[in-house]
Amino acid sequence: MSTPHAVTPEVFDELDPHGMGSYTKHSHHIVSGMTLKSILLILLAFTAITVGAAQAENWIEGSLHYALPRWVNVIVAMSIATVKASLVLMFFMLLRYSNPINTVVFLFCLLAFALFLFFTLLDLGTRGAINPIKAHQVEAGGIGGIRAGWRADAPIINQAPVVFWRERKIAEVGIEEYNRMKGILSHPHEGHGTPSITSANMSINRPGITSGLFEAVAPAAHDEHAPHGAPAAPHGAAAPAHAPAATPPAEPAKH
Amino acid sequence: MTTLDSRSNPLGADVHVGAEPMWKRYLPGHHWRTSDEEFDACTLGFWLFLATEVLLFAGLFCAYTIMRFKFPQAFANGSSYLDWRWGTLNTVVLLLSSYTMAASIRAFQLDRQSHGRRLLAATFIFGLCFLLIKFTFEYTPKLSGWFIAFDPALSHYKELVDGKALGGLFHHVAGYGGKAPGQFFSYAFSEDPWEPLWWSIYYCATGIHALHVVIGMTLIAWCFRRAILYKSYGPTHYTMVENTGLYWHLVDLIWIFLFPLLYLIH
Repeated sequence: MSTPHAVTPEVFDELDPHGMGSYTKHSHHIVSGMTLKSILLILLAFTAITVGAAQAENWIEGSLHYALPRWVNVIVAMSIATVKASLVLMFFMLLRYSNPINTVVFLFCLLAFALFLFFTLLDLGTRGAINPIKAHQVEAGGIGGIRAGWRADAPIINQAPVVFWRERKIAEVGIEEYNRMKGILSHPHEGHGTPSITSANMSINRPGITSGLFEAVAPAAHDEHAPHGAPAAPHGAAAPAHAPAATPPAEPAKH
Repeated sequence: MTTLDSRSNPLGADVHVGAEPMWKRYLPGHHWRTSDEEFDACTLGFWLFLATEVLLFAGLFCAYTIMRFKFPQAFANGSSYLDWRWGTLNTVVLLLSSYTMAASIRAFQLDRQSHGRRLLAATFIFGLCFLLIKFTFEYTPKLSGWFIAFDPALSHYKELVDGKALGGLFHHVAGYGGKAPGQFFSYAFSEDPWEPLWWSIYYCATGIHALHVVIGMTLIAWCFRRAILYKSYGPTHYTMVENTGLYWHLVDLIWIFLFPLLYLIH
């Protein structure tokens, strides 16, 4: 379009009616092999850096017993991903060498995505200011009758599916076998299992009824089924099934 | 040879005459002033399509962000179930495939036909590797508990193996499976009531991405077929390979963002 031609289109060249001779000379940049190889190496290096940063975060938590604030790794990983993405865009997808309108189209698309995310987060991030109970993680309470699975003959339950499947497994194999399996399954990789200890940097204020209140209401029935090291949330979720007096929606399912 | 060669006599051009490769005989439609114009227009159209693909994944990324804000503990637990080593291997495979795709376009630009075809085949094989790694080492164990025998992660669960299949090729780990999305969830050892939501996000994002990998591989196979049968692509006509390359690089781009969000951030 704006690329210069040796012969203007209005002048008809009988030997080259479609302007094919100027194809590679003007607008079709051929990237050198060296450029492609070095961009590949840079991308692989950035992959190593981003994986290394995540592993470093785990290592710091394990060895130095300090949990970095979550946003640190988010910012590091996302900025490295952005750099990698722009390298792929510029050199592999040849945005750098093609018509600027292509870049405009792509950047506009990213702008649309940014708008999408911005207004969503604006809403979500400020709900807590209007109604404090909506500020943090939703706490599971009674949820009414749901089917535990996709089959038509699955039971109707009134607890979180996670809790249902856990109790079913305990009923199936017994609490000791359950704890043994859990010990193996909960620590899948070296230093990379489900965190069993939350630190001040990672814990989140959970509004609503605390687990201590549940235990005060129905301690005996609850303790037998408690898996070791379970944090507060499952207690809050498991307790409604065991403490009918505390949560009215649990009662119709129990009786 | 007649004075009317196939360049200036499109009606006389016979596709199957082996005199000249098809890329040399290609003529853009008469509504284009130059081939450059046609190439620019095709590429612009494809970039507009890529923008819609990015917006498709933008919806998924937005869902991920919302769920991460509302259920941070479930996401922290959920991402610990994923093995970052498979994710890193998949990232390396896709980066290599992006390189071979860009190199194959360059080869066709330089009329190195066999080199270009080899690189297209390499890209296809890398894509296949990506899908095999994903399905064999990630999806199948999580959904069913069946590990392939040489899976490095299997050694950790030796004590829980309760079945073998296909002459010992697959081992079943009791209690491992059931990490399925939404209503299909049946894993018994979760720590947080909202973990099925994590699995929904995970399977939706990686599943739609895997679908795009399959589509990209289909396009590459098509280009390979045309390159082998008709030598369709060369220095003056390589639009189809270029656009296939753009699609494939987009698939790589999406994975570059999916990988840290799902595997590395807790």
